[in-house]
This record gives sequence, structure tokens and C-alpha cells, in this order.
Amino acid sequence: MLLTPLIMSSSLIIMLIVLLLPILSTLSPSPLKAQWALVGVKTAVKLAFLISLLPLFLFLDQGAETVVSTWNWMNTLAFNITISFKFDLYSCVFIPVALYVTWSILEFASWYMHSDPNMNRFFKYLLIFLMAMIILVTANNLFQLFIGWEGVGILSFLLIGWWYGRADANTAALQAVVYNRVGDIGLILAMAWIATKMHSWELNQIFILSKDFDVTLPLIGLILAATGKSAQFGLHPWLPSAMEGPTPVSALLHSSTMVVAGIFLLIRLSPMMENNSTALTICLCLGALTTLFTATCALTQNDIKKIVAFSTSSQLGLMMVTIGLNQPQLAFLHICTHAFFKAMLFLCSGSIIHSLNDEQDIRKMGGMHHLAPFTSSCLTIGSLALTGTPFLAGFFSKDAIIEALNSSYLNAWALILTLIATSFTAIYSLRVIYFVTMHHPRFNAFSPINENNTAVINPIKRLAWGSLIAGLLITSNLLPLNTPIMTMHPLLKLAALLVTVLGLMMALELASLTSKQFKVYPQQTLHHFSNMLGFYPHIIHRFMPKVNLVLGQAIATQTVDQTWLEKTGPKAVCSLNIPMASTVSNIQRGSVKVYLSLFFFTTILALVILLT
Amino acid sequence: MLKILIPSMFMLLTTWTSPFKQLWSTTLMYSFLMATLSLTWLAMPADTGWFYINNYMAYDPLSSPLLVLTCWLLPLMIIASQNHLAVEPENRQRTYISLLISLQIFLILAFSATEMIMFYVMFEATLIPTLIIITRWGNQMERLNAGTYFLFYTLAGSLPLLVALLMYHNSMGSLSYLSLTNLPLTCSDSYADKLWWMACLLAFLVKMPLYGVHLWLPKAHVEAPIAGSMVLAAVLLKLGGYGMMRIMIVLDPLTKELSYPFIILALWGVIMTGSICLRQTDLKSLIAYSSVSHMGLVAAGILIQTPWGFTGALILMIAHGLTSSALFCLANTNYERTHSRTIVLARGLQVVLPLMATWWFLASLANLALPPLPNLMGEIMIITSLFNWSFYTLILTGLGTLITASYSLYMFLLTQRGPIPHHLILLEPSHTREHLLLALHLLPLLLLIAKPELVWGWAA
Repeated sequence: MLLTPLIMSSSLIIMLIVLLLPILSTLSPSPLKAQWALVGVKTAVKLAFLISLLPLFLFLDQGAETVVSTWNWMNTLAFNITISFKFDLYSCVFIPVALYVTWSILEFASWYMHSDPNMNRFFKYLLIFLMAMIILVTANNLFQLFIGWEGVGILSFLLIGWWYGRADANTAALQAVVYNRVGDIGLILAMAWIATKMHSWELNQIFILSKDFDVTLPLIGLILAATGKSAQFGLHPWLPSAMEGPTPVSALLHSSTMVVAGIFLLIRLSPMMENNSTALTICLCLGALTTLFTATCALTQNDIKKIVAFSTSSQLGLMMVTIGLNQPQLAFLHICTHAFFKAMLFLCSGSIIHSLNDEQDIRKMGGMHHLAPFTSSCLTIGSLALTGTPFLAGFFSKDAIIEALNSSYLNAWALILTLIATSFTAIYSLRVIYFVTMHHPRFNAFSPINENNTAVINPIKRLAWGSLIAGLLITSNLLPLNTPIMTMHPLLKLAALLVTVLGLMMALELASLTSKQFKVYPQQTLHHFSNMLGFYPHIIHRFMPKVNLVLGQAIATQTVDQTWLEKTGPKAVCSLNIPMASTVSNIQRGSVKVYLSLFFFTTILALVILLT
Repeated sequence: MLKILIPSMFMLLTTWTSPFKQLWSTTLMYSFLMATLSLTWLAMPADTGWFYINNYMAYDPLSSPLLVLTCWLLPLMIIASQNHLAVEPENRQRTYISLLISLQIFLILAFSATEMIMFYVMFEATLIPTLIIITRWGNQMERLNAGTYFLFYTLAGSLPLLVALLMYHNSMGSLSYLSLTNLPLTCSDSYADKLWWMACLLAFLVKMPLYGVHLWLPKAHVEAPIAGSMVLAAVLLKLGGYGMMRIMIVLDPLTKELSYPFIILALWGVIMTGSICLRQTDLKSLIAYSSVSHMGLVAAGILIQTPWGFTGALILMIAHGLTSSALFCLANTNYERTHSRTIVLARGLQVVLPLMATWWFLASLANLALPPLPNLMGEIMIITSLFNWSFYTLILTGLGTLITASYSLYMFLLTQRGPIPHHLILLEPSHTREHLLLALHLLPLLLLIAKPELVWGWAA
């Protein structure tokens, strides 16, 4: 009976150690071997994946969940912070998925980055990033979660800014951190509130105690945190900008791990949230807005990575909607399935970008179906899975979400936005396939197209298997927490498919329209809105920093520090004393008349005072 | 205490008698031995309360981290100054080291004093060596102005404290910390008592410095030589925080309402000085303003007077001491190579000095309070205790963390990332000495993660 938790916790600890070993080995002063990236890191991740399957199987077989609490880290006045890991449904399923995806991405990166002199360092960053993510997922108290949370944030700073000679990469890196930091304010708010009211950061205790409090305020903080990390509307521009990083980074950070951290936070703390309708409504509306807005932006982008990035953002919005529906488990399911096909889409686009000599513009691609058949087939599979084609990975989660949405009595506005966004998914996915794989090539004749490398084929293939079967595997093994609605109107049941097909038809129609010109001047307002990302970055990225920088320069530095504080403080002392000092010294110039008259007046004054 | 204090005094003798060839190595070794010995202060024989050495000196969990920090910083200052003093004649080098040692003696006496007046005298005495260091070894003409500001702000702030302390002594008959807690409270609501309250805190608020009376700090930091900047940021500012925590006990009934404007001013200062950092062109000035910003948070944490506030303030003081000192050292490595403090003139240094970039990165992360560094532990405790007082403080503290992250990473990006400018040729490679210096700053910080209760203060 005691064997299960023992095996479970020890294998998870072994997994952490296995991942930690390569990081520790970099501390040795001797330079790393060139093979370290593949032999050290990739093998470690692969091994960790295999080890992490053991607790997963134990969980599936016996439903075993365990919490490991060791080492009382900090203790102030009855407020304890311990190192505490939680291995429950979410972490047991997420860790193997994350490790599997990372394993593929690392192998791909060894090909993609092979000319980079600092490849070992790159792998090290990826591994530390993965560690931070695992800490976040397994954390059982908010402080530990915060470590993972900030860890992924700062590693994304390093990885986005990997090509640090480029100003754009540095800007994007800073942008990511600043947007995330706005979200962190929310997390700090929640932590502060919980610490003052509940006197514990342990998740279990928070869940028990939250029944006795009105937890709207900390929940809003948590939603703000998730908005920052998961690029929800308002704090979304960093995610597409982050495509400045190398493609493996985009695949790992901005598709399947880091950006889902915000959603994961809400899933993790969903017991706190389930009875609070204000928070749920905020999530629902925010998610719906995000999913539609970013899907709209994706429609007219020309950079292949940007399209995939926006589709990530749109899917994150869908997950947020699911949280708002109070179906955290479905959101979690979508995280898991989304990880496979989104990572694969990124790897495929990476392979294509590499093949076309670092060309990212889809208008300069085309005909890849003949030249790179494997990559383009997988790109198609990924896009189909993304749109929710039946029985691919995306279907199982997306369809369930839309069903739950349709059968709920919540906000119809949010529902319509989400449905429109779902049909947009089909449009931009088709657009990618249409421009990249179909028709004739539109690129230079001497492109180094070569996908025949095991380091390209194998990872994409593994993820393609994942995109095909992961949805089925996960749904058939996990018991849903909320009872799904079994019977419904056929129209509602088919809504997700219908809007997708509708989107597809529209996209095909639009595609055939591109070669025809019915009007002299095309109507471009909508296009500009979508292409310029709703003008959001242009407004916010000019306005907010300008306010702060003007505050810093004109008010804080010049007006206050250099003028007011200086003039009323030290300079005032100076200017008040100088006239007196100069008067006194001017009097004493050695002229006898002045001395005598001063003496005379002083004597008179003294006499007057004495006599009166 | 005497175990350290007497060797410190004899170190002056060593400085002047050791052969010139071994001057730096001897003093360095000597000060390191003392720093190692001083670590024993962290082991508290009793769980809480004082550890008595004699009638005049004692330490408790509040002062011992600061004492250890003081001792730890002397060898670091010696390492840091070695290069820029190499051109000076022998006697001046000896004088310089002697000044640093005398500063350590004064600081140990200040932190270990059990009498308020003793603390006051030592608090003032630290001005002398610091003033000489700034005005004699600074690099530019403005150093004289900076010295004047430094001296007169502190003096003007602390003279009322002397009067207040004498008054208190007159009525109570004792100023010993050991008995302060047992004395009856004397404050009433009269204007005189409010003035007395103000007089007690003003000196420390100026020393911290509170926003509004901070003008001396950036000037002093910018003009001081590296050792001066280090000790100023790491220890001297903490005298203010330490003194405030000590004197808070006797101010009790008045403090609650009277401190509100100061808390708000401190938090507002966090934002204002953070914004100033975003527009700084001068590297040392940027770091100095970031010190003001962090110390504003410390001041707010102390004035709120909860156990969490005090603990957070103490942790943040120690963490900030190590971090800002490390940042000044990094700025100095740039300065010694480019002979300019202007940020835009030394960009893209990661290409030239790759390992230095790692130190820059770690120091910037510590500055922006990345979990689980002690900086974060301190900040989050202060933020929580302020939040407990009023929800609205979170707007200020939250914006403060945002701005702190922005300017820290901006500083890192600007100095380390990007292409290297063409005028930066013939840069010296970084010395082992510099790496050692930074490792000795950042390693304690990293090790404190594992056992933060060492710098917890009395809440442990």
C-alpha cells in the first residue's frame, strides 16, 4: 500500500535530479565538449521523460496523487514556507507531455542551431527553462510557484534575446519581461492578500480557507497574472514580438510551456475560483476577447512564425474561456493537446525557414509540398489538428470546450466571439497551408532545401504522432471532473465543426478572390486593422513609456530633483546666508568712522535697554 | 566583539608596518580572516535576545547580520581599490587602507553599541573617513561639492537627534537598548512630543535616504571612488535603517499616525527614483538612484512596524547591500577600462568581456528581485505588510517592482547586449581579481537563499 507513493515520489525526484545533473556539470571550469548538448542534455530529457512515465502510469492505474513536503525553508511567526511538491493529476500528466515535447525540440534544435558557436549554452538555457517550468507545475505553495513563474520569465528574456547583437531581439526580450512583470503585480497582490488573510501559502490550506473569505480581489490578481503570462488581451503584444528568438525557443517557450503557465496557474487555483462568478465572468470575457482579437490579427500576417504565434495566443484565449466556463480540466486537456501540434507547427516552420535561407515571409514561399514533402505534410497535420479536425489531437479538447460553451447558460456575447474565432482558426490555418505548400515556388532558385536529416525528421515525426493520438489517449484515460452533458441538439453538437467548415469555405473563396480584381481600389480598412494588430502596440508602446519617461525626465529629474529640492534645500541655505555674510564682512573694511559709529549706536542701544 | 575590534585596530598598525610589496596582500588576508571570524556572530547561542560581550557592546539577531556585512565588505573594498590606487605613492595607499579600516572600526562600534549615545557618536564618526575618501580620492572637481552635500545633509539631520537623545536621557536616566523596552512610555500628543518624534527619526531618514532628502546620495556615489561607493551603498545607508528600528521602540504611541506621510513619501519615492533611473545617462548615478528606490521600500517596511515589515526590511537591507555594492563594482570595471561613467559609451560589452556579462546579469537579476533571492524575500514581506495596512499601497509597490525590473534589465541590455561600438578597442580583459570580487559579492547572496533566517532579525 505504501509502495505506490514511494515509487511515485522517488521517481519524480529522480527525474528532477536527472534534469539537474547536466546543469550542475556546466559549473565545472573546464569547457564543455561540443557533443554535450546532444549527449548530455537531450539524453537527460529523454531519460527524464521515460522516468516520468512511471508516476503517470501509477496515477492512471491507481489514481495515486501525492504531496511531498520536506525541509522547512522559512518560518516567520507561524508562517511556514516549506519545500513542497504536489504530484496530482495536473503535474503527473503535464510533466511527461512537457518532457516529450522538449525532447523533440532539443533534438531539432541540435540541427537548427548547429552553426551557433554557443549551442551548449543554448541547450543549458533551455534546460534551466524546463526546470523552472517543472518547478512551477509541481509547486505546492505560492512561493515555490513564484520561483518557477519568474524563472520561466527570466529565461525567456535570455532566450528571446539569444541573438543579442540585434536590437529587435533585445527589444522583444525586454518587452516580454516588462509585460510579464505587469502580470507579476497581480501575482504579488494575490500572494500578499493570501498571506495577510489566510496566513499560509500552501495550496491545500488556501483551498480550504478560501471558502470563508470573499476572494474576488486575489482572484483578480491571479487573472492579471495569467493575463501577463498567457498573453491575454491587454498584455498580449509580447508574444508575437517574442518570435525574434530562435525557432526552437518559440516552439518550447511560446507554444507549449511558458505561455500556458498563466492558464496553468488558474487551473491550479481553480478550487478557489469555482464559486466566484465575478472572476469566472472576467475570465470568460477576457478569453473570448483575446481569442477573437488575436485570431483576427493572425488573418493578415505574412510572417509564418507570427501567424503561428497569434494562433497560440488565440488558443490561449480559448483556454481562458474554458476557465471562465468553470471547466479547468478541459482547459488542461487543451494545454496538453495544444503542446504537441503547436510545437510541431513551430518545428515545421523552422525547418521551412531554414530550408529557404532564413526566409520567413509566406508570400515568398510556395510549392513546398513537392520540395519538402515530409515537413509540409506535418505542417498540414498540425494545422488540421489546430482547427479541430475530428479525431486529431485538437478535436478532443476543442470540441469539448465548444460543446461546454454551447450548453452553458453564460454570456452569449462571449460565446459568439469564441465561435467566430474558431472559424478564423480555419481561415488562417488554410492560409498558411495555401501559401507555403501549394502552387509554385516563389523563392530564389538556390535555396538549401534539405529535410533529410534525422534531427529534423525524427522530432517532427514524434510530435506528429502526438498530434494524431495524444488527444485520444488523454481523453480516454482521464476521468472528467465535471459531468459532461451527454445529450444535446445536433446543431449545438456540431457547432464547432460547422463554424470550422464555414471558415474553411470562406477561406477557399477568399483564396480564389486573391487572383481576381473586382474593384479598382481594394477596401483596406479592415485589412489594416488586422495587419497592424489593431493599432494596439502603436498606441500603447508609444503612450505608456512616454508618460513614464517624461515623468522620469521632466518631473522627477528636472523639476523635483534638480530644481525644487535643490533650490529649497542646499541652495536656499546658501542664498539665505550669503547676503548676511557679505553685509557683515562689507562693514568691516577698516574704516574708523564705521567702527566708531557702530560702537556709538550699540552703546546707545544697550543704555536704552538697560534704562527702560 | 573584541575578538574583531582589537584585530581591526591592530590592522592599522599592520598597514603602516608591513613592507610595501606585501601591503595589499597582507591587509587583504588579514581582513578576510577577520571576516571569517565574524561569521561566528551569526550563531546565536540563545534563540532570541541579546548576546552580551560587555556593558557597552552586545549584539542581537538584528545587529549581527549588519555586523557581518560590515566585516565582509572590508576585504572586498580592498580588492576593489587595488587597481585604481596602483598609481598612487606608497603613503597614500597606506592612508587609504587605514581610512577603510577606521571606517570598519566605527561601524562595528556603531552596530554593537548598546547605548544610544555611543551609537550616535559612532554614526557621526563614520562621516569623517567617508568624507575624506570622497573628497580626497574622488575623480572630479565636483567631489568637493558632493562632500559638502554629504556632510551637511547628515549633520543637519542628526543634530536634532542629539538634542532629542539628551532630552530623553535627562528624563529617563538611561539610553541603553537593553533597558529601553522596559521604560515607561512618555510620548503624549503635544506638539513638543511630535517635534521630539521627528527629531528622533530625521537623522535616520536622511541617512536612509528618504525621498526628498536624498540629493546627497547620488552626488556622493557618483563622485566617490569605488570603495567609497561600495561602503556607502552597502553599510552606511543601513545605519539609518538600523537606527530607526532601534529607536522605534521608544516612540511607540505616536508613531502610528505620524509615520503615515513618511510611508507614502517613501513609496512615492520608489516610483520617482525608479523613473529617474530610466532616464539616467550616468551608470553610477543610475545605481545610486536605484539604491534610493530600494531604501525607500526599506523605510516604508520599518515605519509600518510589523514583525514582517521589520524582517523584510532587514533582509532587503542585507540583500541590497550586497547587490548594490556588486553593481558599483561592475560599474567600476567599466570605468577602469573606458574612463567614463556614461552608459552609451560602454555598450555591447558581452562580446569583449563574456564572463563579466554573467556577473552583470546576476547582479541585475538580484536588483530586480528575482525569486528566490533574498531580495525578493525582503520585498515581498515588505509589500505584504504594507498591503495589510492599506490596499492602495500595492499600486505604488507594484509599479515600483515593474519600474525596477525595467531599469535593471535596461541597464543590462544597454551595457552588455548589442553590437560593440567602434571606439571600444584595446579593452583590457577582465582580471581574476575582478571575478573574485564579484563572486564574493554574489555567492553570499545566493547562499542566503538556503538559510534566510540568518538575516531574519528578531522574528526568528
